[in-house]
Amino acid sequence: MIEFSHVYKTYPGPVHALKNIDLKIDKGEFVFLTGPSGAGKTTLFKMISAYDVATSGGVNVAGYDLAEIKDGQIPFYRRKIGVIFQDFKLLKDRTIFENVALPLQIRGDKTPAIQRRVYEVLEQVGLAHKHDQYPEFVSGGEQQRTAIARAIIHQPGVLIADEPTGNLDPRLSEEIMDLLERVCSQGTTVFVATHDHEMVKRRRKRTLELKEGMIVGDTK
Amino acid sequence: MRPPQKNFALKLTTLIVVTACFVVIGASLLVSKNFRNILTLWGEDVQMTVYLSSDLSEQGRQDIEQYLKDSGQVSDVQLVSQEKALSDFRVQLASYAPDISKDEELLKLIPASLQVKLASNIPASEQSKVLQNLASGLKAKQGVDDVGYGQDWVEKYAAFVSAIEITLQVVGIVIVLASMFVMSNAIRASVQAHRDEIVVLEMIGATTSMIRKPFLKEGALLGVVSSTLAVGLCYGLYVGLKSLVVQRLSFLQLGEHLTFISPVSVVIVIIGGTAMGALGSYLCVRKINDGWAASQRA
Repeated sequence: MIEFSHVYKTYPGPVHALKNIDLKIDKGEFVFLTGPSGAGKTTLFKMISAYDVATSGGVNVAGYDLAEIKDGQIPFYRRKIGVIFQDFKLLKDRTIFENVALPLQIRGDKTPAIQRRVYEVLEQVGLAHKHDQYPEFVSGGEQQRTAIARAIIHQPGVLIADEPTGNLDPRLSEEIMDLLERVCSQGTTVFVATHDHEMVKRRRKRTLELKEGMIVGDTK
Repeated sequence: MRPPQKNFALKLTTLIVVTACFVVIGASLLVSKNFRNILTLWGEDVQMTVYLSSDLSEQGRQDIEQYLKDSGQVSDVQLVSQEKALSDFRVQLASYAPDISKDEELLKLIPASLQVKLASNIPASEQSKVLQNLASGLKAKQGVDDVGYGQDWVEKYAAFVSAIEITLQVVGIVIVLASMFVMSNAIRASVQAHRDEIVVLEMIGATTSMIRKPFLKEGALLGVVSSTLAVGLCYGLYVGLKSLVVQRLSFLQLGEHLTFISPVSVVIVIIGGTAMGALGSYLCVRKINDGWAASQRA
């Protein structure tokens, strides 16, 4: 589902952000990405979400060759993946329902189908009763669950999460990880970047360790 | 509970700032147009007198009149015969110098003349040059003794008009540029408020046109509303000033010559405003529509 082969990324300076990355993540796999700040985690995620391109090497995600992808195809590729941020990135002037519905509206789905699917996903993340609330008036954990609902509503093949529990306390972090595992169990490939080594140990999932732009550990 | 409507306050502020900019542009158009009207009014007094020889035949006089009409720069030519000139002279001098008006020898020296009015389509700043050319052409003609047109006054008037024209153009350009700068900052601030929305839409797969379209529509709407409001405010300003000039400054006799900007200019201001609003939004959205990088900076 996600495949990097001999990927290098160099920024002007030169700064070697990624060096000879080789990795393969299968469909339905749950993988953690760890490493200190500046190790290259965000660069790797930027490539997966087509916000950056490799200097050399091949990147293939959900059947798209991201080294060759044309600008006009990128939005359609992004509709096949889901992205979760540490700071949730919810629209404050829209309700939880409206935030979650966005990907389906972008895709051009009909209103009844959107309503049906939004309530289904809100049930899944335990937020159906808060559908008409605004993000500012719910807890951090609920905001992150809203972001997850938005990221999975269109049933993406790949879900990437950049420090999804970075702003949450340990109890809420566990809740979010449980939720991501449930999403994974339904066949979505989940790739999570985190600094929380304790949680990674507890979850006993495949873990990639990135250091100075290189993969220095893979528990597969 | 709804979140505080920060965007409404920002939209209102943007509308006020952009409207104020259009009012400044409209007011400068209005001032410039009416200043030109007044200058043209003063320019209408410019006349040329062609003094004719006493031995000039009827045919010769008609040739000179035809020459003036053929130039295309003259709107009216009136003959002042020697008798008419004498009679006018007598009337004018009767109370000041009664003895001179009775001096028959002296009066024989007063010639017949042609009073020439320039065409109204000649710009005030060109009048001096046109008069000079006509005068030199006429002086070469047989039967013309002299040509007078108040050279000093006309030349000073033309220089004054040129200076005013240049000043109006420079001030106009400065005002338009300053207004565009203020306007683009106001629109940029408004679009920046939607930065998170742009990042999210891009992330979930919205195409570039899907992201830009609402901003273009909003920018165009801002442009059309603010420029229309500005035209209305300028009209109010014009009516107020005109009534002031008519009622309090009636001795200037300028009231009837003050006019509002033409309907074509009104349409140009509104269409230009709409286009500027849409273009400003487009440029601002294009700048911040850079996805993940934007989200990392936020």
